[in-house]
Amino acid sequence: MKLKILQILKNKQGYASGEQISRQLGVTRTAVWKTVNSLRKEGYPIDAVPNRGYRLVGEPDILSTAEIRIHLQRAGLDRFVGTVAFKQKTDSTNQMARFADGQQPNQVGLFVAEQQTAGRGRRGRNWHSDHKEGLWFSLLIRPKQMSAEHFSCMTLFAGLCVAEALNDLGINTGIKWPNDLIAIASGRKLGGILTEMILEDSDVRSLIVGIGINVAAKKFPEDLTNLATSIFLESGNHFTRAEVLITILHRFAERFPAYGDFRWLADYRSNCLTLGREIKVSPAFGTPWTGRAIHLNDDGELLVEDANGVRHVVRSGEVSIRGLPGCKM
Amino acid sequence: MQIDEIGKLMEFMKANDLNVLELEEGGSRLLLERHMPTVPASASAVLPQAAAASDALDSAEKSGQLILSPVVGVFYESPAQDAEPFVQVGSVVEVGSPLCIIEAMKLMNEVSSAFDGIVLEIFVENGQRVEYGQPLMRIGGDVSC
Repeated sequence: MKLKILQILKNKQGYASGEQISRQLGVTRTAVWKTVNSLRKEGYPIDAVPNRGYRLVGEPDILSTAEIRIHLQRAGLDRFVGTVAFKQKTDSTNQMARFADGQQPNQVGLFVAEQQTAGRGRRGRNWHSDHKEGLWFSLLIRPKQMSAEHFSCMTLFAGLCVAEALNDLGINTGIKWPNDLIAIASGRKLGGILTEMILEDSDVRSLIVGIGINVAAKKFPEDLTNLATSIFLESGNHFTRAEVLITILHRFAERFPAYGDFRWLADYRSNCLTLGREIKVSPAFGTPWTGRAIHLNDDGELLVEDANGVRHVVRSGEVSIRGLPGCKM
Repeated sequence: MQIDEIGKLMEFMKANDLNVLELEEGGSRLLLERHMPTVPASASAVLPQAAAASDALDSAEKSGQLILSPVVGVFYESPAQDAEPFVQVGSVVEVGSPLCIIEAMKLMNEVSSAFDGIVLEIFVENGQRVEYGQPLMRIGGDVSC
């Protein structure tokens, strides 16, 4: 009922009377009143005027299952997105997705949290997401009988979709290979992606794409000040997290059916800030080395030429770009 | 040596049924070893306490099932840098138990066991680069008491 009442209030320009709502939904006026109160507790600014009814004031930045569903319906994405789950607080949205059941092969599951207590970067590195100023979510994909190799470029693919979505919002965004979203104006990091794949024999059982975007943050902890930025800091605009989410899902839904033709790699290349730059490659275990990123091959790997002119295929490890603060060397 | 050349060498080994190939070229040396999957052993072949005694296993007929890498990437024994390894030699695993992660391009492939048994051998080191289809572990033995 919460969803339905919220929907009515969102679609109504002026006031919706309690009686009208109760008749439309076939519930008592007291039930309507109770639901409105619980929506208010969630943070919705709802005006209540005797004899006129209820009115939602403005478009608050609130995340809830109902809010997300309404946005998905409005955007025509309610068929592409199957499961929707929301939590105020979770260890990580990737974990939420991991333990979810079901999901059709042609749909994605959406797992969103207001706060992540253990949001993860690469190799368990902490990702600053224990606050409400960002959008933290995971997409769950359950493909039918696909090999791990087929999906090995998923992080790159998601990175392209998010970069395009951020550009749609007016923020000039590029990708630092493989998965960092960099605001071109400041060179700082807006967000990142971490994909987890769960295999059963050699088939992919679940593919979980974790996405984190700094949306409203006005400042960051000292050690991140020079590295991180937010949509607000870059654009001066207050986008709600739901708007950002829908913009990303739009791009994802549009491109996902053609993931397998890998033609999107051409667009990835043109959005990739790493290509043509002096970079430092830091293997997980081993000595860092420097070189120039000269190409991204059709497997999504980076081709790097070292100081001696020797070319290396880079597939793992940290890569930083000289001269970009969000990508320190 | 380029990766695709190594790939070709691996194909060559497979085609000619070679188990070991050593190559020296311009000061660099490459050693390729192929581990053949063997037929599952009879149920009583390996007991848990025997698993640690790998010498005994080496001399005996190799039993168990191989876990192969599903992708090209880097092998990680644990979910995070400071975390405990998923498994060690001697660990008892069941179908679905996570064994390791192969990372490539910020995609973490969690490899889980397709068999019930004991981890008899781990062929790769933490942080090592692995190829598609490369054996990672051998799992076998009887865990029923």
